[in-house]
Amino acid sequence: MFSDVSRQLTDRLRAHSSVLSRELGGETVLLNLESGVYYGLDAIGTRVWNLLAQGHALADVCSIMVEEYDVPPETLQRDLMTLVDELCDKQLLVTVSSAPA
Amino acid sequence: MSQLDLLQFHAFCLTRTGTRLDQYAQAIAAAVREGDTVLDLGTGTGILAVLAYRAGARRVYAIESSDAIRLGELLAASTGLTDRIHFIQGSSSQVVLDEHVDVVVGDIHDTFGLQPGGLAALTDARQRLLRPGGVVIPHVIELRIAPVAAADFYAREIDVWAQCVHGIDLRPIRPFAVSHVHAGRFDEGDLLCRPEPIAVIDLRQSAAAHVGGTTTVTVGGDGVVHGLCGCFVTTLAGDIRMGNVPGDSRTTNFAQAFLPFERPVPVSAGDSIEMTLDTRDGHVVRWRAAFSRAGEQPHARFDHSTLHGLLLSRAALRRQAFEYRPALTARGRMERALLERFDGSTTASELQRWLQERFRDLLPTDQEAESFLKATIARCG
Repeated sequence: MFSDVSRQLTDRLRAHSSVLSRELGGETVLLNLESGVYYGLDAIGTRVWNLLAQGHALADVCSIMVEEYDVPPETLQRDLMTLVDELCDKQLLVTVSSAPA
Repeated sequence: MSQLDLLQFHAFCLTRTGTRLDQYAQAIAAAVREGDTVLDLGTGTGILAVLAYRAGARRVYAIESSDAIRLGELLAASTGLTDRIHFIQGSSSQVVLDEHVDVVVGDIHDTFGLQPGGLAALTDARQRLLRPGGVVIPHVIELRIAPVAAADFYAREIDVWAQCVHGIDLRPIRPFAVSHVHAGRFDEGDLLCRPEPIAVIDLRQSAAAHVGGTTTVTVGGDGVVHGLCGCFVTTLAGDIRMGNVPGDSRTTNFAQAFLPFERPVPVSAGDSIEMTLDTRDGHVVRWRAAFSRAGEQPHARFDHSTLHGLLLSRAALRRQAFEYRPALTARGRMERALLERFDGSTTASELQRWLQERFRDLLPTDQEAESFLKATIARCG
């Protein structure tokens, strides 16, 4: 189910130290100044990004967003993990801790 | 840049930049050997190309993207060097030469080191056009940074957006002013400590577009910090140097860079300031600072970047991402159709008539059709 089996729902993540983010009209562009990677987040991706920036663990992000969006929890969790894996692969996000909240 | 702007810019470069040209002349004389081939990157009025010829070069390739190249051609013709200096207009990354040159020289400095894109241009020229073991001028650019007290400058450039005009509050615009690298002129007395090296770009071997570093300084006296002063010291060749460090800027008369903070910070003697700089070849610049009293946690932090100074619409922002999937607009389809008619046999007059018949909705007047056609010819035909 998860593209990265090592990822846990208790994980907390933050922006890579070289990443700049610019939000405009509910969407966000990310730029890693070291690698030069640009990445665009739509409104839902921006919500994920902001919740992670506030220090929420992935499980919390799932719980909050299931309340906000009309989507089955398993679908949201799968999409969240896919997005997070991709952002980590592109060195836009890094894992801070895997300790339970 | 308008043609008058070009003239004024190059007049400034040639007559009001201290002994910059003398330093370049010395470096070129030291590096160029009799019979060498030289590439002058961003030749402008062609002065460095002429200096390279005088230093013994048998052939000089002078590359310039702007129309200032016409000025270089004029000067070369007036000095009888038309056969020795080959002027090439365009982006240097598109230039292909029949030979590898012995020396690459470029004066593409800006207030804070290299102009945006300068590092990529020099690196590309070194890797593709320079022979192995050839010489690059400049050799090394060292970026330096210092906290600066700049109350007047800050009031003029930043807090000008903190007022009301005819009852209209301008403050929503202020963050954009904070998120720019400004050009300012500072004296040694404006700095709260000596400028410290924060990054070194070795143009003889550097290939990375990212430049950055962190340095921490201790403030020598009480004052108010409005931002960071960015400046540079360049080693052109050997021990020939030039720069724009306040108090030691005799060689250039260049302005310095001013990287503002969102608010001024009072400091006392003994306070420390950790300063971090990151830039991707000058296209995006990020500057951070953390202010601390001795033995305490930081009491003020700033994290600014020029990404936040871009006047973007949401659509423009979306286009910045690699995931963006561009689709041809109506104007794009018109341009594609026009380009398919650039066959070497149809005249511009015939193309304009065809444009007006086929795309009357997009180009309703003769002037718009002519303007679109000429702009497309300038880029692609």
